[in-house]
Amino acid sequence: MIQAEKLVKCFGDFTALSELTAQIPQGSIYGLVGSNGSGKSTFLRLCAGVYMPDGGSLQVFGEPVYENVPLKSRIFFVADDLYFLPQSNLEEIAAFYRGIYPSFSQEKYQKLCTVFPLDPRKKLNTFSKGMKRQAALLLGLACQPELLLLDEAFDGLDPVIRGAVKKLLSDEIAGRGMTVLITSHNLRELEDLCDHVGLLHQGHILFEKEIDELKLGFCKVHAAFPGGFDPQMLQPLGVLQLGQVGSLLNLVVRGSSDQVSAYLREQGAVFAEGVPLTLEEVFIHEMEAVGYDYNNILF
Amino acid sequence: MITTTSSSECGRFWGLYRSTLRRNRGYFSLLCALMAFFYPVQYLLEVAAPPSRTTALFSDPMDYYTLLGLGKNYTFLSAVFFTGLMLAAPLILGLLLHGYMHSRKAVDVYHALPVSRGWLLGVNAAAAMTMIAIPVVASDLVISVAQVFQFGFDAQRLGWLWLDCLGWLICAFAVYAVTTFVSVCVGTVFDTLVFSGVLLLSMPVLLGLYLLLGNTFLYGWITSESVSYTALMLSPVTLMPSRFRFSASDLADPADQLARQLLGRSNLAVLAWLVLGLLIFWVAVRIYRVRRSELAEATTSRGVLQVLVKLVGVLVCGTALGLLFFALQNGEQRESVFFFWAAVTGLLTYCIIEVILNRGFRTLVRSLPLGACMVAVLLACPAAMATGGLGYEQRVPDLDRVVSVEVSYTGRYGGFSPDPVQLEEMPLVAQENGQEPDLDTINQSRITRRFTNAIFTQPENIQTLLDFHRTAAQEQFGRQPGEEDGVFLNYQVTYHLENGGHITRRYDRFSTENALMLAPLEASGELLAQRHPAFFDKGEDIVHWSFQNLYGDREERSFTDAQSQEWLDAIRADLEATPVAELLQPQGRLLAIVEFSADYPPQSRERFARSGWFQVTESTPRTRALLEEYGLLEALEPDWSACQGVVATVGNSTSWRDGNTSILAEMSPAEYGYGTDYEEVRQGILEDREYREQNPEPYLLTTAQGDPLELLGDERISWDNTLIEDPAQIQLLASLVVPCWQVGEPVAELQFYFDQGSAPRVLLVPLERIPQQLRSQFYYYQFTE
Repeated sequence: MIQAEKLVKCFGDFTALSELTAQIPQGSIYGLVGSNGSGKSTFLRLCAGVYMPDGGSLQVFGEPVYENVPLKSRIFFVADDLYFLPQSNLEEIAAFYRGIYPSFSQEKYQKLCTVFPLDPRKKLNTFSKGMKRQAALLLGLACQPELLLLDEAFDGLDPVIRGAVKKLLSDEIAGRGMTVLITSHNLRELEDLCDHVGLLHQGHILFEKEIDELKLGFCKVHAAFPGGFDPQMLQPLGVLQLGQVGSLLNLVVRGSSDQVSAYLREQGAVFAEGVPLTLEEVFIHEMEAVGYDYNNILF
Repeated sequence: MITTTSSSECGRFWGLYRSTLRRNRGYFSLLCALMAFFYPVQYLLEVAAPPSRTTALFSDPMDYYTLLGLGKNYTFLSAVFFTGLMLAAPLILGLLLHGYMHSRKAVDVYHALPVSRGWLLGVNAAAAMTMIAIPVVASDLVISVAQVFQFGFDAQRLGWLWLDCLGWLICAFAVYAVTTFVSVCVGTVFDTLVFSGVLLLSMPVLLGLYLLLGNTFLYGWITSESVSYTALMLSPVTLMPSRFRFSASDLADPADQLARQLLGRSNLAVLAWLVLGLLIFWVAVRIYRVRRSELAEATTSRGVLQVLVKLVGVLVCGTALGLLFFALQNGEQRESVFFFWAAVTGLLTYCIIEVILNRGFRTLVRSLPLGACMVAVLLACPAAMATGGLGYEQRVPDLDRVVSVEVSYTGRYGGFSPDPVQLEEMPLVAQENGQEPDLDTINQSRITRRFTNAIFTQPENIQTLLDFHRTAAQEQFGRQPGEEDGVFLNYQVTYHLENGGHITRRYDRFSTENALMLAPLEASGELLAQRHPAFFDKGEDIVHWSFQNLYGDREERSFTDAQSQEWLDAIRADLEATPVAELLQPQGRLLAIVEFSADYPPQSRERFARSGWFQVTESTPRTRALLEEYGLLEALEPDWSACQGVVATVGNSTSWRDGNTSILAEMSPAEYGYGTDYEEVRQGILEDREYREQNPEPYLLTTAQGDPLELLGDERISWDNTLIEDPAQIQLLASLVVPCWQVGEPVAELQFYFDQGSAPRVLLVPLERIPQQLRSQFYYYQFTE
C-alpha cells in the first residue's frame, strides 16, 4: 500500500528523512509516532504528494504520488496546521472539494454534518481550533479517500468527538477498507486506535510492528523481596527499568511476564506478577535505548 | 451512495475555475465598478457635453471633444485611470491568486489536491483574465455603441478601439504571466511584489537611464524619438500607455512617417508580448511542477532572481543618483562627481536590498564582494562612455562607404527661410453652407512634408562633411562646461552607408575654425538646389515680388509668369556663380533684397516653397542687371541728403539673420534701432567726446599692447558711440555694407538717422572692411605707436 524505500527528504542543510524504509499495509490504521522533528509530518506530506522526495522512492498503491493526479484523488490529507479557503463556510468548501474529488459523497457529507456539531453556513474563520479540526475531518471523510493521512488528528478535539472520530474511522476501515496513516504525540490515543505502529527518530524508522506484537516483546513485573535481594540476580533478565519501593521491585524487562515471574520466584521473591505495559512505556524505553530524553515527548 | 461529480481533469478545471471566480467575486465587482466609472462613464460624460469649440474648424465631429487614443475612446481622466487599473489589476490578481504558494498551511491543501500544478496555474490565469477581460470588453462595447450612436459608424476608428482593447488584454496577461513566474520562484508575497515590479519596469527604466547617460557622456550621441519610444515597448507596463501618443490624424499625415513606423512597431510589440507572455507562463508552469512546497514563507535569499533584482537596483539607483548630482554640479569635476555618487549610491542600494531580501544583516558582510562586483558593472558603462565609448566618439566612416549624408545643416537659406515642402495633389474640399471653399481653406488642407534636412550625395560635399566631422570629433569643442565660445550650430548628421547601415551623430558647438570647414557647402549647387526656391519654384507660382534697400525704401511689383521666371533664373544663376570666398569675405556692396511669395500649385510637387528671398549685390551681375532693367536700382537708391548722421559702435551683435543653421551671418533689411531723437543722441556723444579730450590720459593705448582688433575681446577695452556726419564718410560706410560674413567676425553697428523723429536704420558691417582711419574713431582709446 505505502512502500517507502530509502526515502530521503532534506530542507536545505537539514535532513528530515534519512533513507527511511517503511511498509504500511492496506486496510490498517498505522500510527506514526516519534520525537519532535523526527519527520512524521514530512513523511505524511510526501505521502500526500505535497513534497517531492529528494531520494529513494515512495509508492502509494504501487505508484509514485508526486504530481500523480489520479492517485491523489484517492488520498486525502488533513494537515496539523489547518487551512481553509478565505472567507468560506463549510458548505462552500464542501462544494470546492465536491468539484475536485470524484469520490466525494454528498450523502455522507450531510450525514457527517449531523454527527459533528457544526453550522455549515458559518464562516470557518470564526470556528474554534477543535471545530476547525472537526470540519477538516468531516471533509476528509466525505471525500471517501482510500488513504486518509491525518497529522495530529485529535489535536483540540474533546473526548466525545474524539471517540466519535475513532468510531467513524473504524467504520470506514471496516466498510470500505480505507487505510489511515495517523501521527500523534498522544500515544494513548494511538494505542486504542491503531493496529500498526512505527517509531520515527531522526529521520529513521526505529521499528514498526503490529501493536500486539510490540507489547509482547516487553513485560512489566512487580516482585516482593522482604529479605532483600542480590542485584547480580537480575543480570540474566535484561532489565530495561528498575524501581524499588521498600521490598517491592518494579521491573521492565524483555521477554514474557510468566517466565520472568517464575525466575524471580525461584530467586526468593514471595510475590511476582506480570502487569500490562502501555504503549507509552514501550516507546519511552525504546527511545531511551537510542539516547533520547523522554522528557521531550509529550503525554 | 457515492456522488461522483467531475472525474476528468477538465471537469476539475471548470470546478476550480468556478470556485476561484466565486471566491474572488468581491475583487471582480470592485474592478468592474472602478472600470465603469473611470472609463465608459467618463467617455459618455465627455461626448454628452455640448462641443466647446466652433464646429466650422473641424471636419470630424469627434474633434469637437478632447478624446485620446486611436479609437478616440479615452478622455484624459479615463486614460490615466484606465492605465492604472489595467496595470494594477493583473499584478494584484497575480499576488492574490498565487498567495497560497507563499503560505505553508495553504500549500498543504492546494498541493495535496488531485489537480496537477499546471492546471492550478491555468485555472488561476483563466480566472484572472476573465475578471480583467469582462469589464474591459463590456466597457469598450458600451463606448462602441455610444460612438456609433453619436458619430456614426466608422470602421477604422472602431477597429483601432478593439485593437487597443486586445493590446491592453495582452499586456495585462503579460503582466500576470511575469507575476506568476515570480510567484513560483519566490516564497513570499512581498518578494513577489518587489521582484515582479523590478522585472516589469527594469528594461524601460534602465534603457531610459542609459540613453540619458549617452546624452551626458558620449560626445556626439543623440537619442532619437524612435529609440526612446522603442524603449517603452520593452515592458508590457509601458507599451500600451505609449500608444496614447498616436492619433488618427498623425497616421493620416503622409509627412509623419515616424508615427506610422512606430505604430507598426508597437503593434508588433503587442504581438511579441503575447508570445512572450505565453512563453513566460509556460516556463512558470514548468518551474512550478518541480517547485518545492517548502519554499512557502521562505525569503528569497539566493538564486538568479535575487541577484538580478539587486543588480537592477544598483544600476538604476546608482545611475539615477549619479546623474542627479552630475546635474547639480557645475565645473570641471562633474564627471568625478557622477562616478563618486554613483558608486556610493550603488553600494548603499545593494546593502539595503540585501538587508530587505534577507530580513536582516547576517548575510550582509559575506555578500559584499558581490555588491562590489555590481558597483563595478554600474560604473563600467559610464566609464566606457566617458572615455570615448570604445571608439564611438571618433568613429567617422570612410568616404567610399558613404552613399549619402543627411544633415541638419541647411545653410543661409535654412534659418529664417521657411522649409521647402513636398506637395501632394490639391484636395477636394467639400462645399460648406452651399458655397465653394476658398483657396485658403483648400490650402490649409494641403498635405505637405517639410524638408528640414539637406541630403548630400556628391563626393566633394560628403568629403567636406567627413572632414568637418573628424575635426569636431577630435576637438570635442564645448564638451567641458567652460567652453562656451565658438559657434553654435544645430548639427545632426546621418551617414547612410553602402551596407544599408547608418551612423548618426549630433553636435551643437564647434570652434570657429572647425565650423568654417562647412563653408564650401554654402556655394554648393547641391545644397542650394534643395533650399532656395529659385531652384524649384516656377514663374507661374510667384504671385508677388518685393524689392527693398536697407534703409526702409520698398518697391512692390507684380510680374508676368515669364518675368517671374526670368527673375528666378537670374537668382539661380547668381547663386550658382557666387564663390565661397565672396560669401565669407564679400566684396560686392549689398544693393537690394528681393523677396517673393508663391501660391500652392494645384499639382503635386517634389519640392516647393511659399516664399523666398535673395540679396542683390555688385557681385551678382544677373540680378543686378534686372534691377537696373526694371528701374529698381535707381528707385531704391536712398536719398543721402536726408541722412543726418551715423552713429557707429562696436557691440555684441554679430548678425541679424542667424537661425543656427549656417556658418554665415547675414544682413537683414529694415532693422530699427532705438533713440529716435537724433539731436539728443548727438548731444550725448559730443559731450562724451569732449570729456575724453579734456581727460585723455586714461584713454591712451599703445599698439604694443596688442592688435586693436584682438583687443576687441578684452572686456577692459571699451568702445564708443561714434558720430559720423561727414556725407562722404556716410556714403563710404554705406558702400561697405555686404550681404553676409563669416560667423564670429567682429562687426560695427551703424545706425543711419534719416528723418527727424524716426528710429534709425541699423546695419552691420564687418570691422575689417572699414578703413583703419575711420575705424580708429570707433575706439574710446587712442592708439599710439
